[in-house]
Amino acid sequence: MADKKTKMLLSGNEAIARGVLEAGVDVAAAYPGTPSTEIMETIALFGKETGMHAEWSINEKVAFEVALGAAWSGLRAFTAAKHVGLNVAADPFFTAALFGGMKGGFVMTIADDPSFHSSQNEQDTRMYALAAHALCMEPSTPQEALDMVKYAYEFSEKWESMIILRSTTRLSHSRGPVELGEIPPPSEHIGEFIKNPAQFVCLPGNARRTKPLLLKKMEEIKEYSSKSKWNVVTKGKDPLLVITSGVSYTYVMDAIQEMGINPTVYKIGFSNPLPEAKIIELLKEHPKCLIAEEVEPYFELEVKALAAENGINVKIFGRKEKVIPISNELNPLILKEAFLKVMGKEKIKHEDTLPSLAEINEQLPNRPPELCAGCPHRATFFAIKKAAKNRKLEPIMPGDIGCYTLGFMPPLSAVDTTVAMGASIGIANGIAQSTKQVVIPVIGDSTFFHSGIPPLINAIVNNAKFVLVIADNHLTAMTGGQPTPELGIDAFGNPAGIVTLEQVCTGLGIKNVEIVDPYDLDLTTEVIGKAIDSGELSVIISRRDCALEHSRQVRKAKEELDKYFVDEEICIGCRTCVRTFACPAITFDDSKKKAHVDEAACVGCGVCRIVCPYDAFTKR
Amino acid sequence: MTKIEKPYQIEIAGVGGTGVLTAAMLIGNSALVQDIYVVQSEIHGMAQRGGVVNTEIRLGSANGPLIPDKSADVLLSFELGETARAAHKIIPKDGYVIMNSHIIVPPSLSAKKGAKYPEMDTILGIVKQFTDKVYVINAFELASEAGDLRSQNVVLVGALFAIPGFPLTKDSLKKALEIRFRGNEKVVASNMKAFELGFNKMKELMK
Repeated sequence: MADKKTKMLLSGNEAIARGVLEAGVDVAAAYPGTPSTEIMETIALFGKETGMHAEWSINEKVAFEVALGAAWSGLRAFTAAKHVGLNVAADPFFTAALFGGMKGGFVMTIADDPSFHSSQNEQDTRMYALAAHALCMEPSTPQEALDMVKYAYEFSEKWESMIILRSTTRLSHSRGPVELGEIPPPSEHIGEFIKNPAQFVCLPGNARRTKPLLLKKMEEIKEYSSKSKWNVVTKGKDPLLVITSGVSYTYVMDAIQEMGINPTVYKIGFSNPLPEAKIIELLKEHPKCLIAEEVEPYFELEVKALAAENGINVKIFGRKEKVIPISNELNPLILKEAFLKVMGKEKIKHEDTLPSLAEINEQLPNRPPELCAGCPHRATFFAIKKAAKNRKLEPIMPGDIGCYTLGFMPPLSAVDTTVAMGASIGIANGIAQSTKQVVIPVIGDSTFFHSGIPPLINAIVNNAKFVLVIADNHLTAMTGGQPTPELGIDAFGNPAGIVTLEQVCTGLGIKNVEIVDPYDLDLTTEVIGKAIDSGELSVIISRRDCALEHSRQVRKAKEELDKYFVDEEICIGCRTCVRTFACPAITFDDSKKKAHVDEAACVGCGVCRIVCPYDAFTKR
Repeated sequence: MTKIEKPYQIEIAGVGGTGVLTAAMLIGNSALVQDIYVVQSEIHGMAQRGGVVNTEIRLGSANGPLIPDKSADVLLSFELGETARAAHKIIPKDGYVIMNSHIIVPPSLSAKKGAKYPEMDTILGIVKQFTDKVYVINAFELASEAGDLRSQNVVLVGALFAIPGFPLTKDSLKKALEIRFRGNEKVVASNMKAFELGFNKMKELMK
C-alpha cells in the first residue's frame, strides 16, 4: 500500500486495515474468521514498520482483552472478529461496554455474514450493540470504512467508550476505489496503565454505580447521533422515506436509479444509539416508510416504537410486513420489488421462457467445497473410519470448525455434529456420559488451542472416555494459513514462543497420547484402533503439514512436487479410490474403466497408493 | 471520474483456484487506471476449497457490488459447466458469453458410478437460450502456448477486452499487470502474451 493521496482498489477489509494504520493504532489483536480475516492480515503485512504491536491471539475473547488492556493503558486499540467470534468475546465485551474508561480509542470490527456464505448463522451484531449499550457504526463502501475507522478513534476517545464498526460479507469482500491518507511516522507506542479500581474492577458495587452513568452517556450521544455527519438525508420528491444502512444503502440506490423513483433516503451510519430526533422529524414528513437493513429488524422495531410513542401517522414496511425477506442478504432486485409493493404496484413478472437456475442445476454436477488434493485430513478421517470398520463399530464423530468440517461430505461422511469452536470435545463429553457408543471427536490444531482445552480437562476430571483426534496441520488453514502456537512465529513473522499439542495433552496428565503421520495410513489406522480398544481417554495427534502450504513451500524453493499416476496395466477399475477416498486429483474414466490422476492437481502425498487394493498408483 | 451512464457489468464464473479473483483485480485496476468508477464483489472462505467462485464487476454509475439477474453485459466463464450455472446473469439476447472449453470434474462426480460430466453441446444448448453471442475459447491451449497454464484467466481477460464497445483499454490492462506483479517485467510480458492470444482469438471468432 502506497502512502499519500493515491487511489487504490481496496476491499472493505483492506480499507478498514488501512484506516487502522492511518489512525496510528498502537495495539491490534484478532483471531481469524471469514469474512473478517483479511483485516488483521493486512495490518500484519504493513504494521511492522509503524512500531505497533499486532498479534493473532489464541481466540476472540483473548484478542478482545488484549485490546481492552491496551485501551485502558491509554493506547489506541483494535480488534476484529467474525460475528460468531463476538459470542466468544461476549463476556468481556458486555462489561467493557458498561465500564468504559478507554483513554485510548478502542474500535472493534465485527463482520456479519448475511446469507451464511461461510458461517453457521447470520446473527446481527447490532443486536449485541443494543443489548450491551455499545456504540455502533455501519459503513457502506470501502472508502467510508476507512474514513469511519479514523473518525471512530476520535469519537471513542472523546467518550471513553469502545465502538463497534459493523461490516458484512458484501462490504468486507467487495472492492472499490479508496483514496488513501497518510500513515503517521513510526513511534514507540508506549502507554501507561493508571490505577483506578472504581473504573476497572467490575464488582457489583462499581457496576451499580456505573450503569446510570452509561445510560446518561448514551442519551447524550443519541443527540449527537442525530446531528452526526454519518447519518445522511438525501431529500426526494416522492411521499416515501427509506431508512437504511451499510451495504443495503447501495442496493437501495441501485434500485432507485433503475426505477427512476425519487424517495427520501436516510442512510444511518451511526446506528447505536439511533438518531431518534432526526428519525421522528423524517417520519412526520412522510406517509410511508420502507426499512432496508440486514439481517434482524433492528431499525424496524425501534422506528415502529418511535412512531407509536410519538403518535405519528406513518405506514412502516419492513421484514415484519414481508416486504423485505425475513432471512438472507438483500440485493437490488429485492429492493426493486419492495419499492413496488410499498407503492402498491404489481410484482415484477418473470414470464419468460428461459430455464430457471434450478432447472439448469439439474443438468450440472454439484460442486460443493471439498478437502484439497493431498489434504492430510482426508487420510486422518479415512484411517478412523477404517479402524472402526475393522472392529465392526460405527463410532460417533463430533466434528469442529475448520477445513476438516468438510469431512462431512461423502464418501468420508465422518462428521456427526458441528456446533461451535471447540464443541467437538464438549459434545463428546456429553455423548460419552450418555451412551455406550464409541466416541471419536475430531478437532483441528488451531481450534483445539482456541477452545478445546477446557473441555478436555473436563473429560479428565469427570471420567469421560473417548478417543480425541487432533488433526494437526500447523496452520489455521481454512482462513488462509495464519500461524498456530506450534509454529513459533508471530503475526509479523518474527520468532516467538512455541506451545505444542503433546506438551498440553501430556501436561494435563493424559497417559495415552500418540503422534502419527496420517500419510502413513496403515500405522495411523493401527494406532487409532489400539486407542479404541483401550477404552481410555486417549489423544491422537495426526500431524502433517497442510497440503496447500506444502505446495506453496515447494514452489517457493523452486523444487518439484512428487506426482503419482495410474498404472493402467494394474488398475482393474474397482473404483475403490474414487468411491471411498475421493481425492479431487483422482477421476475415473468410464470409457476405459480405469482410474486417472490429474497430475496438475496431485501434490504427491501418495496415500492413494495405500488406499488402492491392487497397488495401481505409482510415483512418477 | 469518467462517466459511464449505464453501468457496464461483467460476471466472472469459475471454480476455486482458477484465478477468478486475480482476473477481477486486473479488470478493476484497469478501470482505476482509466479513472472509471468500479465496484466488485468476491466470495472467499468455504468457496476456495474447489467450490464455485463468482465475482461481479460493475463499471461506471453503479452503487452496490451485486449484479442483478439478466443485467450482465458479459459473462466470462473460466470453466465449461459453470457457464450454464451463471447464465441467468446475462442480459437476454444482447449479453456476451465468453467461455473456457476446459472442464474441472468435481470429485463427488467421479465417486458416482456412471455419472458423467455434461457434454459441450448440453452446456451450449443451455447458454444459447439466453443469448446467441456465445464464444468458446480453449484457454488451456492458449495458456500453454503462452508458456504458463496458470494464465488461462488472463487469456480470457484478453478475449473480454476484444468485445466491441468494451470500456477498458489494453494500455490500462498492461498498467494493471504492472501493479499486480510489481513491475516484474518478465511476468508482465508473459501475461501480456496470454492476453494478446485471448484478444486475437476473440477477434477471429467474431469475424
